[in-house]
Amino acid sequence: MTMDIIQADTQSIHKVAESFDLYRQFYGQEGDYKACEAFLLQRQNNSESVVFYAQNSEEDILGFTQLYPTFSSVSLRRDLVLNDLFVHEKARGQGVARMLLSAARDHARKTNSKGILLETDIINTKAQALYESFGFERVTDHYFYYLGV
Amino acid sequence: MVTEILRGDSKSISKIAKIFDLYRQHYGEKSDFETCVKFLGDRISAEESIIFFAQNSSGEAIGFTQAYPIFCSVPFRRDLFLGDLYVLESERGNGVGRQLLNAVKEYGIQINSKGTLLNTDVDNVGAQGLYESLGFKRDTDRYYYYLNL
Repeated sequence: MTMDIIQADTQSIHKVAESFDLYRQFYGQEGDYKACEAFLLQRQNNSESVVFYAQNSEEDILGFTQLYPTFSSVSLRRDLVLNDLFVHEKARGQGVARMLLSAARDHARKTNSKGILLETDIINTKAQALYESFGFERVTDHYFYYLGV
Repeated sequence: MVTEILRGDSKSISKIAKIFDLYRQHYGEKSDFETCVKFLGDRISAEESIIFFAQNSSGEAIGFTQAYPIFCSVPFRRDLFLGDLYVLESERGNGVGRQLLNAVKEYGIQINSKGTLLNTDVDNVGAQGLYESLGFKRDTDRYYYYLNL
């Protein structure tokens, strides 16, 4: 299957909104296409996220990933948080996720980032296997904390 | 002891860089004051981080914290990623860390951020106690993965 991985910009980000909406519904949110489109566009307008999407020769969107730039202060380097990775059900098992991860890694290298951080549900062993086969290592020397306001 | 909590800006960078350099050395990095000044200056001028520092009555910085803006896509949530928190060894036990964290929390509320994410060494029980006393919850539902480049 012919597939292109493209970095979204302010012009093309709307193409990802439908996939993003499905992805959010998978995690229990209500469908809201307009809000999805607005959220993604705002991140692009402010250079607050980096999005790659996969499309086939008919320009159907097969999946996407979204990363947020951050920093590793101790290393004085850029760092990236891979927050989202989604592949449409009909496109699974064809290496789409792996290609999206490769694009993310290339971007990280290009920006001289220290690495890529991501989180996954403990029960999502399939995702874990993918990440591990890609070279991600589970963080076992740090605890992660969150405080909601 | 009078301690003021101030927001880091272009004028206070060299003052903060002094303890930022010490903080990095604490994590095994070599001292590099000039690069610390540049790193902090770049973050502040590009609004890529928010810094608060604690100042004693002699006008010296005795602690600092740096947070990076980030997002959690599924709930459309704006968060802060707390990269650094450091208090000079001689100044510990006086509530400086707590005051710095409270300043971040107040700032987060102002910018409509929904929470603060951080990570800490598994063996740093002192920091864990502080975070937990402020209401931070350890994330035990997810695994975190990192791809080192």
